[in-house]
Amino acid sequence: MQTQSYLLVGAILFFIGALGVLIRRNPLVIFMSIEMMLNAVNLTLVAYAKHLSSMEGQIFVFFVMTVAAAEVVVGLAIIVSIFRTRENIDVDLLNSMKG
Amino acid sequence: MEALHPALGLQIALLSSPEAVIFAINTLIAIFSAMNVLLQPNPVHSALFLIANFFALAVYYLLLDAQFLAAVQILVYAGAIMVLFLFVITLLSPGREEVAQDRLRPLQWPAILLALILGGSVAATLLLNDIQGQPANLPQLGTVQVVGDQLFHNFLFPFELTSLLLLAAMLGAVVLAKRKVD
Amino acid sequence: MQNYAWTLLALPMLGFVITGGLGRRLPRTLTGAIGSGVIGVAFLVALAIFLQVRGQTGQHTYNDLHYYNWLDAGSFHVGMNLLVDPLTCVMLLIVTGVGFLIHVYSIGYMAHDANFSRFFSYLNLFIFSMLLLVLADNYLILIIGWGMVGLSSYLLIGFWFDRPSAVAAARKAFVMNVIGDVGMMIAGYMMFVQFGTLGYDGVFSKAQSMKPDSALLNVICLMLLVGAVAKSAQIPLYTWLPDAMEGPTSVSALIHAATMVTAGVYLLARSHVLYLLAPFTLSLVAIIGAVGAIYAASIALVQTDIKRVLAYSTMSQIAYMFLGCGVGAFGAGMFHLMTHAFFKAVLFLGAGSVIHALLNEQDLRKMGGLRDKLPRTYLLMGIGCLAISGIPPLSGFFSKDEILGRVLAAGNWYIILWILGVITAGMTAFYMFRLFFLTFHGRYNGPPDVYELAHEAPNVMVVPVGILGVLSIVGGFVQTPWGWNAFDDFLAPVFSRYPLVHAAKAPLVGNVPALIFIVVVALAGIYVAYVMYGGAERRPYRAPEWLYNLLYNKYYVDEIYDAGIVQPVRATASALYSLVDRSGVDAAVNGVARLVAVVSRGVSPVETGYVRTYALSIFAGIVLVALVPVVFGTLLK
Repeated sequence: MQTQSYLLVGAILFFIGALGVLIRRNPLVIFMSIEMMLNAVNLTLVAYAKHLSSMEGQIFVFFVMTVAAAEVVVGLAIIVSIFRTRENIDVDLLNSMKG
Repeated sequence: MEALHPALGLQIALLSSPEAVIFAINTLIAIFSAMNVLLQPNPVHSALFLIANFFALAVYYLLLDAQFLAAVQILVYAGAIMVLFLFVITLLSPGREEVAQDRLRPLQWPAILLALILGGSVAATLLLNDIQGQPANLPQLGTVQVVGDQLFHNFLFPFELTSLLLLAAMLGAVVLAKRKVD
Repeated sequence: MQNYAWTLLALPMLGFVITGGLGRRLPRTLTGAIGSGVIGVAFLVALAIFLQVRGQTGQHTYNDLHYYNWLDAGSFHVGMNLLVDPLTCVMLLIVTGVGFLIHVYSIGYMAHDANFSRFFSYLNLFIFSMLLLVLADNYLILIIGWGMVGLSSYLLIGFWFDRPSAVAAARKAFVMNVIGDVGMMIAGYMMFVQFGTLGYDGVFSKAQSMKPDSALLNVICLMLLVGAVAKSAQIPLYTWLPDAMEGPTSVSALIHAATMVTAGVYLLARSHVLYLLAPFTLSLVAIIGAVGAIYAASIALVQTDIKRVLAYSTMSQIAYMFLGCGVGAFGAGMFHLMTHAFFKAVLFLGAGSVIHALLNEQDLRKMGGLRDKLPRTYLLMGIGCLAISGIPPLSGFFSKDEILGRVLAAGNWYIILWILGVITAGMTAFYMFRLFFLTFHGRYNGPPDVYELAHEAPNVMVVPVGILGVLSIVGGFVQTPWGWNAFDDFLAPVFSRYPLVHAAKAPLVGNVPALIFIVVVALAGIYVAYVMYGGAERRPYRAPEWLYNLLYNKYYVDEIYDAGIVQPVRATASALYSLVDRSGVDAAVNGVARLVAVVSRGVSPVETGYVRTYALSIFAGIVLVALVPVVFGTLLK
């Protein structure tokens, strides 16, 4: 398949993820959307790796996955510590920095 | 066939080889599951659809001669990260839905608009321009040997650093999520 | 001389620092000894310098001592140099000599004051400033000394700063002095522009090549005159001097009689070259002198405060010095400066003893009959009064009559000034002996218990006055009308240094009939005073009410100045304050602050606190940034 197709799919997935970040209120769903954005970028990188016959793209993706894993760990820990004691899971409740 | 307009070429290619068929079906799955991550009210459902999305991506990697990455994608993302997500979802709000009235409802429209603008322009860019060159046909490009070779020769330093990164992440998570004992 | 002349400045500065810094912790006798001692040593140095200069001849007497280069700005050079010539020597001896005696007197006079050491530190500061002024070899250092002397005067007049009247007097003196300072500075600027230098030698040499009586030179001399008039309390900048009597009597004696107020005369004498080349301004000096003399004497006729009488008499006598300089007899003016320093110090210090004895009573109407209680003061005050009245053979006679003789010799319309001077001499004799008789003769008019306790001052106060008394008697013999011209000869090199300029120094053979006439007038004044105030019963002449009030209220000049100058200035300042400062500057500054507050309050809603709005704005920014290459790169192809 032509490289462009993969790039297009990657773009579409990226923007769906961005929309998810902006529209949903559940912090976990927001986080999942972020993961989706990361994956879209991974797809783009691998597509280019094949197009340019270079391993660098794939190695980059490898590291992205590692870092994403670490990020998820820490991010979820933060979400847990913030929302542990609350009734509702809603990022809109975190508005004490208002003004 | 490559001399044709890319958009037209896409449509013809769609039907011309088994690879193309797999690509088409996979794309539908990927986009459908991505939309549902967004649209499902229940976070558990969103997580499950995301797992489906990751599987679709793994298929993409296979199509792109990145076999190692396909395997790692399933192992790490679908196997570890999403499990973690599901743990936390069940920890915090088993099955609860977003109940309160969305105060920022009016903001949804600008968000969708912006996303469409950007997405549209990127898509337009891609469709209207040619990418120079041909994708190479090297099935052994993404094998374990090659990846391992690169990691331990050219990218040794970042590789070792990531181990430190993971250690820091582990410590951070423990510290952050600990219940404050007082 | 180069090696030790600088100690003249270092010694009083040392005294100032020690008495000012440590004085509080030292015993009084030590502080007084140090304060007076440094001036005593300075007097010895001055004496040594004087003897050395006396041994020099002609222009060798002009000793320009270079110490270091102080100011070097392009073509403008000012050196820290001291000039020692005969004129300087005269001033040095007077300042350090009379100064030393008054310091010693103050040890007794201020013995009960809580701020004893501060007084001596200020006195030393004053001596330092005065010596700096006198030793300068250029107008810049002179102006610096001038200003510092004004500062010292302010500090000393307002020494008892818990008295509002003293504070007001100090402020008045300082403000009027500053007017003079401005005049001096303008003169300095003009001199620099015209001559390129401020050094005496440079200015005087170059001035000779200007056309005679040029407008520029007249203006320079006029500006210098403004300074001299302010410092020497002449018309029209004199109203501060009577008020300055608020200060301790030693201060009145030292600063407002013997030294500071004579700085104006010194300035005129030093700048004689400029004045002789600007005859218009010089005649103005003479007029100010003659008019001022009779004006001040007229006010002194009716004053009731003992120190006020002396203050106006000081103004009158300095006017005589101005008159002398105004007819070109600068040497005569300096001669009178010297004798005046002696007898005026005697009079002030003697008055101080009287005030001290009567527990700070200064009103003449409450005095009388103190002759037996204060015999030594009586004698010394008598000497002082005779000297100031110009009775031979005391010093005042020789100096005052030399001035009047030279005025007469100037001829033409100067005879009017001579007449004014003679009338003033008569008035001087009258009001001085009025003071004398009211204080010491007749019956005592104050509270009886004060009279019982009145006693002569301690030796530390009487001895210095005694020395000054002796000087008042013999000090005149250095320059007599029958040919002993020691004083003029000593000063001759100073006044003949610049060849194109001839100061009037022809020996005065003495218009004998005129001399006798003046003495007769003075004796008449004394007699009239004796008739009115000398006996047990006082029989004062009853002047018309309006005349008496006019003189008693000093011609209402203070009130005129207040209404005409002070109040308008105050009103202007107040208007500027509310108009420019409050409404303008403050409003602008506050307005900026308010603007910031308003803007921030307006912008603050952007911080909604919702994470999602922040995310949206970030995303919008990304879209904008990403659109740029897309639009310009691709879609416009």
